[in-house]
Amino acid sequence: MTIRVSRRAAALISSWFMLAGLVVSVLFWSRWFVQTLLCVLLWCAVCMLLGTLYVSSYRVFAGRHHLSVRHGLLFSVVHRVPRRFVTGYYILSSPLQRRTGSCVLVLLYSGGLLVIPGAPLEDAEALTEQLAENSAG
Amino acid sequence: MDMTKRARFHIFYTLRYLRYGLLLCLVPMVRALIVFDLPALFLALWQGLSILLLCAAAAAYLWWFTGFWVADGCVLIERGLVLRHCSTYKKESIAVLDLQRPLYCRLFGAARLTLYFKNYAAPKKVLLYLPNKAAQRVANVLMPVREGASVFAPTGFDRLALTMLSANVLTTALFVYVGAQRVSELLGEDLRVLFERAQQNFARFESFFAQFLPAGLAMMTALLFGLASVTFLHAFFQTAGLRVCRNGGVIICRGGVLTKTERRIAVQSISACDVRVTPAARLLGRYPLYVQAGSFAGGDFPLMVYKRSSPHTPEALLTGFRTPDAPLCEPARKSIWQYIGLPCACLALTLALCGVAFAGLPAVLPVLCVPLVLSIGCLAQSFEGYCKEGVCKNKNRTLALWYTRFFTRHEVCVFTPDVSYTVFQSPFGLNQGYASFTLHLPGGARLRARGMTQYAANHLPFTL
Repeated sequence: MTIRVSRRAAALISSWFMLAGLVVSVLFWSRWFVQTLLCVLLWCAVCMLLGTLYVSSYRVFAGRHHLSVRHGLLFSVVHRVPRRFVTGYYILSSPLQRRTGSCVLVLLYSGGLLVIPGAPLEDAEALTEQLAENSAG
Repeated sequence: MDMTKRARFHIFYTLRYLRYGLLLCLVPMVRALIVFDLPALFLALWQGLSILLLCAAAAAYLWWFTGFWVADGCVLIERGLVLRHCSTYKKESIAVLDLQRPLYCRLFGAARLTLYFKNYAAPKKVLLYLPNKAAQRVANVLMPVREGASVFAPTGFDRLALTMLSANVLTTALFVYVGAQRVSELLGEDLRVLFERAQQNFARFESFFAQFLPAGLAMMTALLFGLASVTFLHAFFQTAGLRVCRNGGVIICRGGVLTKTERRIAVQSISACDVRVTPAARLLGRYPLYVQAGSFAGGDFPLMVYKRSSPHTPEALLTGFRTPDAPLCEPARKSIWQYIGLPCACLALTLALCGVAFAGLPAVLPVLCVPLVLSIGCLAQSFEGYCKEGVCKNKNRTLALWYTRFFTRHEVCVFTPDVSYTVFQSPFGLNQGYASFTLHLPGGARLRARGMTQYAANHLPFTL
């Protein structure tokens, strides 16, 4: 089973960072309007281009014995977790994400947690069902 | 004392609330002291006293409604005044139980019990102040032990080696500095006189070294000597009478003079052991061994110290311990700059400083020898890392992972199969086929070996 993150779901995740930048910029609007506007535009462009590309680079491969999560544009990162040691999971989805059929999947294991932003909701549910069956069996 | 009935913590439990009150008191006092306004200082003192009394009353009230009891092999702790919540900690989830009795606790019949848990979950550890007898009983319920023959009870040179290898100059320096800052905030003027006297004594000490060393170097030597003395004294008291034995699936470690420590480690929860080869360990020919179990990362002193010439000694304590079966890496396939890049930059900077000093300020040159020697040491250690750092799977299903940090080589033997890993590749690594390998242990500990071949990193089996 392979889970890929769509561009639309990735753009939605990037928009959260864009919003965070906008909220922070409120502090500076009154004093440095032009500079803040330029910074905000730059931040939005970085989020929409690089952020979307980065988030859409997430791939999850669910093998028989382990899960692999691969991400990164220039610097490639691969996480491997044995399936039997996945101790829990969360599926988080905002109203907009529910409309686009995506979510944030958080997998917990004994050594930490793995976050897969923008995973398709159906695939995430299927994977977590498989993991639950594994742990029950 | 019946442990199944609800009992209160020791009154020392209130200290955690009182410290916030103490902080609130200190701020106005320090402000008054800075401007040297005596009426404001007296006012701040009265204000501080009232804040402390209020905090003490609130803490005592909270303490009265906080309790613990033991039932069905679980510790239950009830906290909260308005919103009451009860935390249950199962016996099986505990990896390490650390019972400490510092001098100030022993004077008031208290003990400090710390529980470390196996998995990455909140909380990683729980600290409880209990009456001494209750702490002992709780420890016996959660991790019962029987006394066995000692595996490690150092005497003679081993005792000296243990003291020297437990000492951590950096931590002690930081501790002394922060301690001095806090005490100076608390005592103010009285302590200033004390500091002046200490400075006078330090100047005498420095002048002794100045007889055969240049001025700057003499001060550094005196400072290092003073710090080392404090560190060794602390380590000596901490490890006095240390005795380690293993019985009934539990490793028991007892020792200490001023702070009596009893550490119980469940053998089945030990995820890895770490042999730290420091410069001091190389000089003494003895290697210290630390144990990682769940969220417990080795503690402040090693579990045992063994001779370099007998590398199989730890097997008496940890039966699965094994030195690597095969070479851990292929240096020819690594990038040397990944290891020596930073030390080389430090060395170049120091050499440049030495060059400037040689031309313009020859008096500073002896002081610059210290960072020069440190940079060369760091470079040599990094080169050793280039030759030895890597991962290898042993025949007895353990995993050997060696890595270097600063002046220390860590030789880790991983026992648990409950591991996951991360492989990180830069564009250069992708081109030449090497990657950084990070192993995640239960409890959140991470170990990173650089320059592993891409194929080996991607095909390392989980079934250890």
